[in-house]
Amino acid sequence: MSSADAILRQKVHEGSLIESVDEMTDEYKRELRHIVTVSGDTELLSAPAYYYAARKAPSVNAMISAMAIIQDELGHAHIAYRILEELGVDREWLMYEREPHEFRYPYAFDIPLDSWVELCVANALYDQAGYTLLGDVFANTSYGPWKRGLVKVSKEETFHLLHGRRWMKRIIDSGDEGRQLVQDAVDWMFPLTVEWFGLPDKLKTHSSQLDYKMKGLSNDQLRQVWMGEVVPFCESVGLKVPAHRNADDTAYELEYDLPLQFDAIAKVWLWDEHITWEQVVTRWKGRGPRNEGMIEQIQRSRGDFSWMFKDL
Amino acid sequence: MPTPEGGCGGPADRSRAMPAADVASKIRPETAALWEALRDVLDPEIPVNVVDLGLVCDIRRVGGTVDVDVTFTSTACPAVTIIKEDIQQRLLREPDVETVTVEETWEVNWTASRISGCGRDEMKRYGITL
Repeated sequence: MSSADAILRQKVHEGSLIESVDEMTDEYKRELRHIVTVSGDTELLSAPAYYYAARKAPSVNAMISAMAIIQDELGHAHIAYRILEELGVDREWLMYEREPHEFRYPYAFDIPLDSWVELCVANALYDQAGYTLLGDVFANTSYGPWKRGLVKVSKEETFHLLHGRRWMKRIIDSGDEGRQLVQDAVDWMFPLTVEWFGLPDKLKTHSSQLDYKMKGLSNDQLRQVWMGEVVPFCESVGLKVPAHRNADDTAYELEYDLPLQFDAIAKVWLWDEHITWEQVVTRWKGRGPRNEGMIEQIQRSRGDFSWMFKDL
Repeated sequence: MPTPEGGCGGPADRSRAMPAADVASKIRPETAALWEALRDVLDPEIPVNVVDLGLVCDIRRVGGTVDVDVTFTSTACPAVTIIKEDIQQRLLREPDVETVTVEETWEVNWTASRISGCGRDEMKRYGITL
């Protein structure tokens, strides 16, 4: 670590905000580019992921709500990519010139949301994960422009969460069939969102992002914050989730051993098939069923519209 | 009057807590308590309640039956269903209210002039300028 890095780390831990590229060390800039790219890509890819299910909206009003959420997500991606431009990353390249496997977003979005029910559960579980991660960044980040940009993001994500929770409750209240549909979605999406927060702290012993105060909480701490919101909500509407408060009521604990094998096509967890975190990382990097299709959907908006006329 | 999370209601300066003129003109003695109750219902995106935001256009009450007319800040408001549900649920908690019907009306054209003084203060506090 250079002396410039040491000074910068001390400065941000004393509460100073970094406001421009001139104040950054190369290492700070590299880490910031990485974390903001993950954030921007996650927002961007949530749009085609949600759109896929929004086509199944049960009414015009429901479709309008889903489209508003998708539009919000694109706006959030724009904020992140605008920040990346400041850091010297070309936005055209970010959007249009990367290969599908080069986008950095949670594996969960690669699994198709096939129904309106699954979209609503995604709003409640995935958006809660996004809200948890960005809420931590907003509270703790040392990069001023990102902190200010997140004011708008967090307000809009609150609506997404509410949308998901309300619809889950409505569908559950419709009767046993509705309740089962929501439970089925939660059964595969809950463990996927647990994975969303990354490797457990015991395996990820060092984080430059924490050193530079780009965020404030570790992976396991963030997972706890997420469970602290999602588990009580699910229990309040009578859904079963594989997590509960531990014996001394200090934290949530999972009722299964991480990590597990996941069948991405059948959308089921193989509860008896335990794998290593290396295998999970390989699964993440290999991407899932919707990766290429979603990137194609985004990149075709670049200006070549000849594809539109093929089927006419 | 309960003070909702959004903050409007109960500040020292009562004139700031009054609904905007267009809204206040619709409040009748027999529905005043219902208007107050709806100050508990927040817009899901902006932390201002639906009365101070000027979304509630009229409330009519005959016995235990209540009809509410609401407008929205845009015709494609994504929160229509949530807001209507919240209004209904809140009014059903009022004494002797048995049925509540919430209908959209587009006869009232929502503009920022329908936002009360304290609604404006709240929005400003959250970084929204008008």
